[in-house]
Amino acid sequence: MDYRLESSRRLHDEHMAAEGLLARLETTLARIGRAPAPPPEDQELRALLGSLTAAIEGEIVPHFRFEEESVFPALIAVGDDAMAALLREEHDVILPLASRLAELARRADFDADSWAEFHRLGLEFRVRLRDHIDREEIGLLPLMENLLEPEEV
Amino acid sequence: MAPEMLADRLVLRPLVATDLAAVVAIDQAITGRARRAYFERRLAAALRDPGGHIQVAVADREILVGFALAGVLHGEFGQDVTTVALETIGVRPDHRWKGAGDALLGGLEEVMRHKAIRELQTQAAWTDHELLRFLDHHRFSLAPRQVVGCAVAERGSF
Repeated sequence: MDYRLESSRRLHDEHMAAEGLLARLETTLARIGRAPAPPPEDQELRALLGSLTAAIEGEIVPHFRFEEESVFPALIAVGDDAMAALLREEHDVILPLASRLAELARRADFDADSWAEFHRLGLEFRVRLRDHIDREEIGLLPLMENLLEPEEV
Repeated sequence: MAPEMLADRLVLRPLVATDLAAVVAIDQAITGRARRAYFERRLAAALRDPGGHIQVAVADREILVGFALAGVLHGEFGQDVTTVALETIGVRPDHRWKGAGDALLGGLEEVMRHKAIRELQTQAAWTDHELLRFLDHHRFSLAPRQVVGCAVAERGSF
């Protein structure tokens, strides 16, 4: 899609980056499995944990904040509040998941319980964020392109 | 002679710029809000990119009673093929469940056939029961990866 708005293009690029991270997360979780906990010297996992923490804190949280503080109010002002309500509900579910995942990832020294939790939350995060990205790609971005002007977002 | 049926009077046609006021009125009757800016901007988007948008209307004796707005998604993220996304559909409350919605979706499907597009999708709030019933009636099904959740402490009794 050729984006008219710089904001739409930026959100799309961030979705692409998040999809790449989710693919890595999925592969790594599948490789290690739910048990036993991985050894500390698992370099692939360590690299993923670093990327995951950086992405959650530096990209995903700011991405959600930008939508909630700029995009959704602009859409509501024009008359579309349904998409904002739908996506806000999803943010409210995904953000606590992401926060807990980042907390576990920062510690990195997994025992059986913390790894089982990380594994479970990681799988849930992957499903929910991917679904959310799909919804934004087919719903939010076209809506922004249709309804908003560059100076509004 | 058999009485004329409402469904027989309905005429499907493209939505045009002069329908704007009627569209706003129908939408206001449904939502309770006048969303003129929304429809003006959506109209401007369609004029800017006619190939990326589909608009159909249904009229009863030349009076607009329903409309549907949709966008064409050309192999967007996560999609391998071109699809159509139904954005907004509205039918005058006194014409609901009398064939206008069927005509609108039929019109969209006709345009899609001309464009060789096979998939129509939309998004609806989990709690919009009437719209979900309409979509179910028209054989829409849940997309994969749909996640629904419920906080156990907040769940009501069955």
